[in-house]
Amino acid sequence: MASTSRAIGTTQLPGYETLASHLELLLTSHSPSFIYLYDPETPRIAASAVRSVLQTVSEQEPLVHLRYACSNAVACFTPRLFYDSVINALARWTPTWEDGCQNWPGTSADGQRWNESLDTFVHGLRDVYAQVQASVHGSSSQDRGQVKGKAKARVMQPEGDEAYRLVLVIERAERLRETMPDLVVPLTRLAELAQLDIVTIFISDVRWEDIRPSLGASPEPFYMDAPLISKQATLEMLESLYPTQNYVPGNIHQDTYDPALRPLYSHFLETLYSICSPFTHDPYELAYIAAARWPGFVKPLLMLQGRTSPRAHCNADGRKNSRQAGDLSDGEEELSEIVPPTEDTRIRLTRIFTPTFTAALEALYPRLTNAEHWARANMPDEAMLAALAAGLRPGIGGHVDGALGSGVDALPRLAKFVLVAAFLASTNPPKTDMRMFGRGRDERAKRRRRRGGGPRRPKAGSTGAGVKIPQHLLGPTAFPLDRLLAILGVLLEENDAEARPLAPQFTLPGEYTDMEISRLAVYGQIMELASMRLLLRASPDKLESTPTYKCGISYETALALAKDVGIMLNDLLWEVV
Amino acid sequence: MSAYAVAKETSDLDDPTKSCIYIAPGDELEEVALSGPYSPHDWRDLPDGYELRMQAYKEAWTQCLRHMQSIIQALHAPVAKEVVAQVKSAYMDTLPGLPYAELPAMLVFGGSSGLYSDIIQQLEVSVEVEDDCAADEAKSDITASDGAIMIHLYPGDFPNLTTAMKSIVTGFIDQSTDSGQNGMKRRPAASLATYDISVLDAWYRSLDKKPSLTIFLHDFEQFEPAVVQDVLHIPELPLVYILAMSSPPSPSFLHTTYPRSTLALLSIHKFSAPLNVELIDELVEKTFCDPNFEPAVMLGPGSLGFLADFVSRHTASVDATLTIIQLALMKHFTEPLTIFIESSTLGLRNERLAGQKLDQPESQPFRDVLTSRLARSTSNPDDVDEDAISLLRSVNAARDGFYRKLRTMRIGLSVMSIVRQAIETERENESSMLDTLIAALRGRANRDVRQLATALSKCNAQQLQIVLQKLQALYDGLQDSDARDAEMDAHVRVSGALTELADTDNASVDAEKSRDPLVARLAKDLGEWLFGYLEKHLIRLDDGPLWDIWYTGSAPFPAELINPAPRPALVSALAHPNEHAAAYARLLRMYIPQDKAETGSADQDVREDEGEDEDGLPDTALLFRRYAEAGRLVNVYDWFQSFAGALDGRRRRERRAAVTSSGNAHTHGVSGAVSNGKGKGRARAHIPMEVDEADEDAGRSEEEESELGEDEDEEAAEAWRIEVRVRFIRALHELDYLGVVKPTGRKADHVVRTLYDVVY
Repeated sequence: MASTSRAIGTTQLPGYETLASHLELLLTSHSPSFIYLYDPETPRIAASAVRSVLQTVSEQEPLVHLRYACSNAVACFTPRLFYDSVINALARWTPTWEDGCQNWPGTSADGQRWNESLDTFVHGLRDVYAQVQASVHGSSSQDRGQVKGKAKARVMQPEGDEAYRLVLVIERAERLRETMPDLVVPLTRLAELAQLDIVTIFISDVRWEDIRPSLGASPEPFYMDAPLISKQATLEMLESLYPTQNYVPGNIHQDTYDPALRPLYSHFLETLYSICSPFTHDPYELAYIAAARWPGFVKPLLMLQGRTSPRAHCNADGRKNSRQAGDLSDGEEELSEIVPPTEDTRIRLTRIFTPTFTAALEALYPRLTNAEHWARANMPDEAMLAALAAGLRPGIGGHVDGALGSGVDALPRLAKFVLVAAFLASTNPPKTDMRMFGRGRDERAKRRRRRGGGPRRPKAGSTGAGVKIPQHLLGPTAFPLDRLLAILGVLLEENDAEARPLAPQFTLPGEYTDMEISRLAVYGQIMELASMRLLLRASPDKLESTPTYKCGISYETALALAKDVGIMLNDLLWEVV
Repeated sequence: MSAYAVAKETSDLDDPTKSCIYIAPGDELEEVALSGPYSPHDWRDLPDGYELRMQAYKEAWTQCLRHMQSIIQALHAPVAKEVVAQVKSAYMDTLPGLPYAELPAMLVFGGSSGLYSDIIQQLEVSVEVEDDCAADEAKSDITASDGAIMIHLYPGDFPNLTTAMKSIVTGFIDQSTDSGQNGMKRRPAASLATYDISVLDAWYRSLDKKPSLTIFLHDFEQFEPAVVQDVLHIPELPLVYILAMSSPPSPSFLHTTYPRSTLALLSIHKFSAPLNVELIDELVEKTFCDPNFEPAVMLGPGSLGFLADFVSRHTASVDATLTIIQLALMKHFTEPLTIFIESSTLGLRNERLAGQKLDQPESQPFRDVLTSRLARSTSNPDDVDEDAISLLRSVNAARDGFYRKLRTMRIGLSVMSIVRQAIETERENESSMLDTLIAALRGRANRDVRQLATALSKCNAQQLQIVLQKLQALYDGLQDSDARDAEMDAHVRVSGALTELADTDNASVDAEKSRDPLVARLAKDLGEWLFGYLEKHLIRLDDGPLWDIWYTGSAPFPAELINPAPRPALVSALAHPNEHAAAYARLLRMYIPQDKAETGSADQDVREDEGEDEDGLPDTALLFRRYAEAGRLVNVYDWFQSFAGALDGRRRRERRAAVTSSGNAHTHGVSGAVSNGKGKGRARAHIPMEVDEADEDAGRSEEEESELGEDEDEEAAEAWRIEVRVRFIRALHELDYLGVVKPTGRKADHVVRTLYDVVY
């Protein structure tokens, strides 16, 4: 629903014209029964392009009567879901709650079910086909004397030869291999199986070679490759997204999306594209960033024009998805008031905001925060407005508002020790533990190894094959729980003994620590950390075997934690990072 | 503790057709119904003291808990409100121009069950409110929020995609029972699958109102990422996700675990619950330092110290805090005198009746203790009246005195907290209110007070104004009239200073350099006043008469209950079973009623001094002793040999002892086979004659009891060998059950030790 109608390109998509025309040609003439559309970058956009082609073709119906169904291999994760959704879509049947979400009953009244197996599905397809024929036949015979009579006459098709075609579009087809592996081959040969004119289109960002069933069970598809979207096409696509509705959320200036600002928007997009395109081409991503930045970008301008009215106005028909062009009549009187900025203002504005584009990219591309929040947090402030008015160039830093302050620092003291111990256990080889942590009689003097490099570091120019990759580059290794506790004991004994409350009942050296590391709270802490995924459980969740873990924190985090509790982490690492 | 080989079950044991035999726990425990918990003070308790104290405890704890819960709720309220607001506006305030509709995901970090229930409650409340003013909302189409339907899902609901979708779909549909279509006819085969999102879609379309659909995922880290990822790809409905995260926000779990393609579908809103450490600090402050809330029992530095340590070291969780406070209270109420906490009526209608109760002979020990305690606290012991009524009166006086002191202390602490917050610097931020409270209770707050007074005397006018205004508000807000009277001087002083400050302000409006001499003088005076005032208010609570009724003092907290060390406890029990058994026997004796104790009295004579003597050890401990001396791998056969040798030796010695004291007809059955099977350590304690009986805890047969003759025939020897084997197997399995041995996958007849460094 909302997602489809709001997606890019309900009409012709810029950049996809050639693909669209080819597909249209294929679908209206003799089409191959299996088409594979490969789009490595933006399969979602490709899918919407295909959908729009199908929409137009099925509406025009010049030569062929087309029914189509779009399904998604993620959403249809069982054969039954797939059968249901396809048959219902082809039959243009919407299940309703009132009649118990019944599926399309078929042409016969006895209510067959099509979702039982592939066989019934094929029968369902044939039934749909028959229904399409019947309905078209019925309606066309009605139409003939009326409006369409002329068109029909021009096509000059004998009535019996009218072409009927079903089209099945499957997005994210690569997932079929996991969810419904048995269905891949039948789907590619659906036309053969059903003896109907059915076209199956797979859309995927994976090549057909990688998902092709073995032994040549599937026929070769007709390959189509999505084009790389050019800069011009991207910009056009983005421009088509300029909101035309009148409803604007409360915290954004009400004239932000005034049609008069459209030229400025194009310039804005161009700047945005030039800054962000080295990092991402995806029109969706660019549109996301643009949507977040635009309100802040135009705000100074609007403020300068004295449009400070805080907004309390919302139009009843300002639905978000009324995107169709020509819906501008409501904003007519406001349009006259907004003046597009002069060239000079525009350049100044752009120059001021340029650094914030990068900041927006950094925060929004990994989705550290959401667009709306970012837009709100990065509204230009008063000082900036003043600077703009005065023609100065203020320093503006679009701050990334990702971190919430309370990170791992807020963990309890013991948790920090456990994490540092886990990091050591994951990084140091087990054989070195005795040397790193073993404390003999005169241990402390011996323990200090020479600084600045691990003892195992190979000499330069030694045998190439024997060069060992440092452990911290290989990722954490798993360690058993006992080893973690033992290292934890050493760390606690050396760094925590003074901070503990007094316990006169422990007299032997190390007895107190021994007691501490076997307490319930330590085990509880380990479980807690594992549930936070700061420790990763490496063994299956069973009782019988020794539990093993991996460290889930980075060197930097471990270093910060160690510093916090007063451990010299680098002294305890076998290979100094 | 279970009684094996109870006579009546031997028939079952001999029945070869049964593969599984139920051995009932010894009926001994059932006889000794636990009438009440063990307490070392029982001898001086009132006859119904336990029940009365339980009652008093319940009241005290309920009062405290209710107060704390309201504080927690108040602290959580802002975050909960924020989350609810965001959930409600999730599909309204979207930014125009986004390329596609996003799925709102609210990440709540560090929340606790309290916060979640607040959120849920607020969501529900807001729904009701919206229902009420639906008419108002109808006019604005944009805010077409028709409430919210919420479902809760846990990691167990998401084992795979099908189940996950089914939980979501049916969860929502089942929630709306009022839609009235539950009785609709469905032909399962011919309609959509129950896990089809289209069902939810159809259901949603059929609704008159369009509520927002909220999905609350608890323990989000535990969900299988592959499943959640797919679930997030499917929806086409206005769903809102609330993700309860337990991981810290800064290496973000969501961002490290889920691919960008999934993240791009979400509109991520982050919320952080208040930090638990701060929350607990505030909780303690508002519970124990609030001048207007009087806790029935004041916790002392012993318990609060444990709390502070536990919170900073182990888990800063509100629930743990509540448990610790509750446990401290519970322990406090084991003291018989705490019956006087609320009133001196001893659960009766008035003091006259209570006095009569005290006069009864069974209350005598209690009364003696009370008298001596009162006598100790007065300078002249002769003053203490022997009359019961006047005893109770002095208790009343002591209670009033203590609470007055406590109130003074609390006011002093509040003043301290106010001043500190107002002139807080980064340096002082380190010590929390909890630490200050502990220091003050220990009588070690002098340095803090001095620092504070010095800091105050260096304040500028603005800070002074804030401090004084807050202090005035504090004094104005005192609810207790006695307290108001007591603090009248201070109140006047503060008001006076405030007007003085206002005057100086008026006099020197242009005083840019904030330290004009008048203010400086005022600040200095105030600093001195504060020092004296706090000195007077932060008094020791543990020197009045009977103070330990209302104050836990430096009594240690029973830390083992919160944070036990199971493995060392297990090892020490295995290594020194007799000490543990003796302690248990002592404990048991405390609550076995005298009349019932007779039958078991022989058993209870535990020899506590048989420590190193191997003969006294039960089988499991005997086996464990050999285990402790073995290497990493234990050869089971050698182990058995050693065990059998020890048993043989013991048997020989016992037979010899039996022979020397022969002639005595052994009369078994008095203390009975019924009771000898429990605790093996205890079962050892017998006069030599009965010793053989006690040895047989591994299920022996009746006829063997008679085999005590010197001429041991072949049959008896064979039976003994079998018995040794059985006892070994049982002991071995017990050790296995305790987890101290583990089978090695490689070497036959060997087991691996899991415990090393056992100290005897």
